[in-house]
Amino acid sequence: MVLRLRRSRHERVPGFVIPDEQTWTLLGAESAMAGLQLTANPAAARVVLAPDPIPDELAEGVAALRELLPDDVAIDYRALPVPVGTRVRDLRVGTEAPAAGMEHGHGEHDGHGDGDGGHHDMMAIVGDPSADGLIMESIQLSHGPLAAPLPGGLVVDVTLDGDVVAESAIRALLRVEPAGPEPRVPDALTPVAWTVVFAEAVARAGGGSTGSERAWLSLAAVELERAVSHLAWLRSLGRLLDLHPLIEACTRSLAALQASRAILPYDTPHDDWLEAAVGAPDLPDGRDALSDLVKLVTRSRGLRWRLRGRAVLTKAEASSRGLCGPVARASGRAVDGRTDDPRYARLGFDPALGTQGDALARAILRAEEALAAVDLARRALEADACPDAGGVPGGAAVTEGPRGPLSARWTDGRWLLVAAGAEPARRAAADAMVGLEWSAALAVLASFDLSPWSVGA
Amino acid sequence: MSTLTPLGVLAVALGGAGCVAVLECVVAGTRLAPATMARLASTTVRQPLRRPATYDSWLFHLAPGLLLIAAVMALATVPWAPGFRGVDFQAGVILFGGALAYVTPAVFMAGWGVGTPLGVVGGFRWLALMLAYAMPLAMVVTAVAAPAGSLRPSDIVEVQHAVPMALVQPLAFALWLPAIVAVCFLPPFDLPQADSELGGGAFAGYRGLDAAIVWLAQRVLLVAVSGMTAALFLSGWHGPLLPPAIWMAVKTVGVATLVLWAGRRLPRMEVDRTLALAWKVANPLAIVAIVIAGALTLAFYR
Repeated sequence: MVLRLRRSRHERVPGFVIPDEQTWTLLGAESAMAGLQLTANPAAARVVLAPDPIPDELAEGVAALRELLPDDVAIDYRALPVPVGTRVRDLRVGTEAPAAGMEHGHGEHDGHGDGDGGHHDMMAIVGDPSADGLIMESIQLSHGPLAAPLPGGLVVDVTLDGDVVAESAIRALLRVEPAGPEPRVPDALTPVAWTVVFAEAVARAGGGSTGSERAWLSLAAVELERAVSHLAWLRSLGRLLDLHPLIEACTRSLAALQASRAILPYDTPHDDWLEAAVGAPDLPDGRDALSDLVKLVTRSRGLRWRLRGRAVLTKAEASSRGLCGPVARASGRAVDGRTDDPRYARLGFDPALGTQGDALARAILRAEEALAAVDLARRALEADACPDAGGVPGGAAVTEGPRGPLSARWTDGRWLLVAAGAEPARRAAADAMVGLEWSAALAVLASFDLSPWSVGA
Repeated sequence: MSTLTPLGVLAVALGGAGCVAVLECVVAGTRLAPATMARLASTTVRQPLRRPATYDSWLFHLAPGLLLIAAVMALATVPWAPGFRGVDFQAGVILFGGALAYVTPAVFMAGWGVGTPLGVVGGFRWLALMLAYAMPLAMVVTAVAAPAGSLRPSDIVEVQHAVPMALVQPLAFALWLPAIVAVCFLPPFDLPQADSELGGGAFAGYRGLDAAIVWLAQRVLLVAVSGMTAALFLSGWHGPLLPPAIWMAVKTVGVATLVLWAGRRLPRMEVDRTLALAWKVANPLAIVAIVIAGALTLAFYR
């Protein structure tokens, strides 16, 4: 017997989401979760929201999940606006390889990629067991791949000494191989930024560049995705910590940005972006809600209690570990691909930097970056002539995504994709968990905002 | 009648649990949907008693029952109005604490019994937490009993006819409140189940009637500790105009609302920091509270 429950805006039915809440939000399908009171406990769920089709890599996790679900749970299969691993429409590179002379200037990215160790890349970190000095029987635990509120597809293999993490390894299960000239979004948590990177890479492969108006729209779309990504991450952090004011503030901010997100090209071909830009007037509303959120994150005693002083990464450590994106910037390392971009310079971009380098600094920095991203998007949509982004024809196209720089290049009849910083971040997160009690370890893990998608060669 | 019959205590338990469910909806800001809730409850109870792949049969199945018995026993000691209580025991507050003490093995049995790594972690977390918070709870009870010169809850209520104990002993009240939230394993002290960290933890393996009993026991526990808080710190049934039982009910609902509201405002506590707080701060302060209670008793309550 399958339980049928009416889902309305106000009534809440306990629901479990596959693969995770962030994916549905980032792919513009948040409305599918309306009426659900999200739970991380499968036994408490009455409805399961699942994408159709479910990625193959999650099949094992879904089978394990079914064992935990009540017998009468209703499974709600819905197609995502962007099927996981979908090809990017209207972008096709000629099958001829670019000229040999177009390959210089990007050698450092070639052959490298996120997850050099293979599909199920695993990094084992072993630390000193038992921070409290007691000798206890160890517990082996594989947390994931469907361990809400962590992103679905991320697996954390730990050895617990009591409830203290003694060993830790993190795997990113999900992967899309971009075979052939048609690029495919390799990370469902960053669909827009990758689409923009592919567009620029295609233009460069042809020796040209994207048009002025389209370039501003691309920039605005990437910035809005950054805002949405950071907000979705903050909300999942709130769910992990069970901090309802943060969850509610993030939900309000996301709702305020919802109309504006019409300019994000989830399901529209690249050429239709101009027409879709009508959502721009709603951006000021999103800014007000975001300002309140930044105040909350900055002043919340609860967040301070849970995150301050956890997993501190100094500027030097961030540099030596090769960390990029918000994680590095929270440590004070000024690495941001937007800094050298003349378009961002025209918009008055100034990268946010943290100093403490702990989990709290990473949360505050992402909240501030979300607010700055909305401002940048608004200015980009109001801007006139767009300066050339620079770069070498035939070289790699690079965009600063929500988790770090994303790079794509078409060469020798294949795509070379790099999500720099993803693998170092996984390694740093696994390292930082060691020696912490389980709940603190999970908070630290979440603070790195890891993607479950493995990108690269 | 001078005492509630066991049937009466069960009626209070069931009615109170229903009220707590309503309060939870109110505090969470979700629309109360009785039909949906009834359907959820009905389907939960009718689910088969599915067992985990590996589990300790005795511990696993005894835990929900023991938890409910402990909760109902604690509820029975609460004085709702003059002559209106389940157990009129001379050392009633000790019996209350004794009943709550059985929550600890019940939750640990559930966690150990289910046999999953996170279930075991949940059980151990609870054991550590309760060892740390049982002492402040017991010492605070001593502090509020001293002015009354009695361990009978109704005597402690009577001694507050002029001033509630929460105003006389704010330190004891401040120590009592987090301890009772912890006893009910409600947020921010829901460490043994902690959905987002342990995926249900100690109770993740329960289905059907077992799950319903755990749900019921947790809400009865909240009614019991809220009622005892009203009795020990908020003058119990004393108040103007309204009948005593109504005053007691209003205060109990107020405490339960405060507990549920605080759970939504605060993040879940971390075990290590919570234990450090309990052993390094709460326990020493509880001793200070006893000293203050002794001084107050000598000065004003002799």
